[in-house]
Amino acid sequence: MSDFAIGLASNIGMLAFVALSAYLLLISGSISFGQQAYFGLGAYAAGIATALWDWPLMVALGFGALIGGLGGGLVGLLTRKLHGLYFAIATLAFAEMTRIALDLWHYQRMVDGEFVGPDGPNGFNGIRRAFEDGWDPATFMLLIWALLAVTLLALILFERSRAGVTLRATGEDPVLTRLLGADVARLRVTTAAVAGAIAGLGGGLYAHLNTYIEPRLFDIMLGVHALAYGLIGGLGTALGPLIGVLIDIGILESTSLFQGWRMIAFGGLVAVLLIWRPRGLLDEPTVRRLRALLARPARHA
Amino acid sequence: MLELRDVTVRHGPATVVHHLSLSIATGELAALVGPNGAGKSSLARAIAGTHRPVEGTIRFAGADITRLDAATIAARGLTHLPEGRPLALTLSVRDNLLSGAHVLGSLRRARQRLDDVLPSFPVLMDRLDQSAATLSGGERQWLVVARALMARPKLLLIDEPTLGLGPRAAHETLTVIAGLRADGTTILLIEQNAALALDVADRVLVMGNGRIVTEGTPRSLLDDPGLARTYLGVALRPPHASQEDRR
Amino acid sequence: MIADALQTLLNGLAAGAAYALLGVGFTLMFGVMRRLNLSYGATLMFGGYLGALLMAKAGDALPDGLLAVLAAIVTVAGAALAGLYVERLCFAPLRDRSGVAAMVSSFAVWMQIEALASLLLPRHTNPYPAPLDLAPLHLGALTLRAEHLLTFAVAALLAVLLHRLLSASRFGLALRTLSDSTAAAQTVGIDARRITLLAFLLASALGGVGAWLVLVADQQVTPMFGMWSTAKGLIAMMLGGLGSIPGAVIGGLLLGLVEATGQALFGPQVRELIAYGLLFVVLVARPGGIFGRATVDLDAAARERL
Repeated sequence: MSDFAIGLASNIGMLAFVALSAYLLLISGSISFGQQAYFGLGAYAAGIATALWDWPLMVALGFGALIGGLGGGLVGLLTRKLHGLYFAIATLAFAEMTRIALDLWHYQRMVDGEFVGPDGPNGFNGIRRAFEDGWDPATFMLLIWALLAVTLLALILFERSRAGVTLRATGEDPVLTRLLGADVARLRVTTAAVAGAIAGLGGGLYAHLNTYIEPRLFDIMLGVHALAYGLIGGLGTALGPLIGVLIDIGILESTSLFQGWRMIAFGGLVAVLLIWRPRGLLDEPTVRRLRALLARPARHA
Repeated sequence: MLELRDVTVRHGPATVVHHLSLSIATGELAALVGPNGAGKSSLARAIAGTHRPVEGTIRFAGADITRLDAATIAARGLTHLPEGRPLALTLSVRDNLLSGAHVLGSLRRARQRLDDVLPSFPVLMDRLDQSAATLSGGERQWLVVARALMARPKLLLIDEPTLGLGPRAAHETLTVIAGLRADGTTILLIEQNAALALDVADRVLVMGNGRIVTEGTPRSLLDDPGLARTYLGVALRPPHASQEDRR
Repeated sequence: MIADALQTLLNGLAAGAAYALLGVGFTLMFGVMRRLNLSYGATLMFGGYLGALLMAKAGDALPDGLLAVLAAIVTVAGAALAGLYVERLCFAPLRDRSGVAAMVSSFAVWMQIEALASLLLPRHTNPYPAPLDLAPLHLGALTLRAEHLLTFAVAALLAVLLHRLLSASRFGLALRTLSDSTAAAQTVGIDARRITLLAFLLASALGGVGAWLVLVADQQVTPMFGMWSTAKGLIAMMLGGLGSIPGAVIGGLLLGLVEATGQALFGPQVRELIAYGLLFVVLVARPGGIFGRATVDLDAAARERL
């Protein structure tokens, strides 16, 4: 596999994490413009863990997910009474606060004779643990996809579980949500935390692949892109956001000739697609139909 | 004035109105009664243009309005008072009334019309500058009716005006509606409370399961108690003396 | 000390007046559609870029006064035109359907507009013509910049005009009715689609003027302007209470004051942090906005299915 393809595949993988993060909240009926905050928190946490505290890579990635999860859970808890647009804007506000706070934060330590650590707007350089440990771009890509596969599987299983069905049902019917009361509230906060953790895991992977992160990367552009992936690919299944990422990155690369016009064309495509399919390509009715089609041969066997 | 032919309305997969035909003459007060779920409100929405029928034609004042949108139909003089009494609650009573004259084309004409309509509604005259949210249920019903009159309607399509009102307010509402008919407005009244409707109507259409089951004068319906009980679910009281007088 | 505080107050109110216009524009759009137009700031930026383009291409040929006037016209018209595009593509077709899709669609258009702007003027900083080259007025220890006066005057004028439009015209009444209750508007024969389109144009034009006031003070327009003005308008709207025009005005002024105070006390970076922090706190504690209700009516909000 060429270097270019490896880089592409890695990007797709990492973006898929933040797309799945937004997706999980979307199916619970909440629009979050702020999942990029947990992606960023995870990136910084994992980076600090390896570069400054000398933790092992896997533990650091887990730490990144933990911090992302704590952030997501905290916001989920604070905003539990908010609905619709109020919730969306609150998540946006929190994400921007996080970004700006990272812009102002300096935490550097002397490691091996040089200063390492987050340096405000200058970013955080030197997150080299993955490569020091012997990972190379190809094997790291495999790691990303392995973790992504596990996450996808977990999500698909979750969607079929009772909790998952409840989450979707209450997502579509707020009155039902009120009726079910405290149990659903707990489920939703937990969902927010898990969504944050997924984004945080992706962030940690991103930090170690690129070895450099800066606050500017975790802006609202990333957040709305995350939403868009789910909406394009489809909200009927966890594979939807992944397809959304594939489409975006696919188009991005295939029209690299017309740099300036790429965004104009893509933006227009998205707008038109959403008129035709407001809940994406693999929306709930389509997924049901596909499942029925796939079940038929099994029944005849 | 209003003529429906073979109208069929669907709600998703369910057919709620089946090949329904009816006609309302100018100046009459026709009541459409029937049990819950008979399709009365769906029919009203089809007539008003908020939910198009899948088949059939609707003609109003000589023109085909089947495929027109609600705003255009309202502009032609068919005013719909939907159940639920939708009001702009943060706006004042005055503003709600003036909005009723939107189809008249100018705010000046709306204000003139308000002067004509208000005297019939002293309750509202006292509360013109209050927000509509401060009105009681019965008062809101007055407001909805007065607002409907602001448009100088040719036909009033009134859907369940007494829903949620106590007996006294319900009776008052229907007295107002009878008064409107006396002024010459054509009215199609949809009422679950058949007893009340029979008191004021010239003609009654009984609807069941999306179809017109029977129609006739209130007298003829009351003369068939079996019919009344089957479709209206209630044993009707004998007609009031006032109805005898009107005959 | 007091002079400093007064100066901060003045600066804050001037910025806030522009924010108020942005917030009012957002509110007008939200009122008729119940959705956020994420490309609002971008449409204003488009107008600004047209003004900068004018300056780049014809700036030397035209006298300063004429250039400034033309730039203003071009900016407001450009914003309105872009707003029309957004309404037709993103919001009208999805009117009774998914709100999330409409908002993400508007974000896609935001990206389109940013890309287009970069194609038109590739540099980061683009000079924008300012109408007045007057020296600032000094009143004692206070400095009154010409742009401040312009902002106050224009914003006040627009506020009066808008109030008259909304309270004393058929269109204004129709818009207020539609913003309050779609059902009531439908009942009285208001054409929701037409009113929404007109509201969009009005909001874009108002925002265009607000943007013009800011660009004239900055004397430049950058690609960041889209995000910046969207954020300011959004915060102004939410602070004052979603859907309330007077609220948006007060929210905008408050935001300006908070920012100016934050900058005076802690410096420019913390200023942005405080703005978002204020928004977050208001949403969590008083979702109805500072002047709204303490708890948003859950039923109504719940029924607002996106």
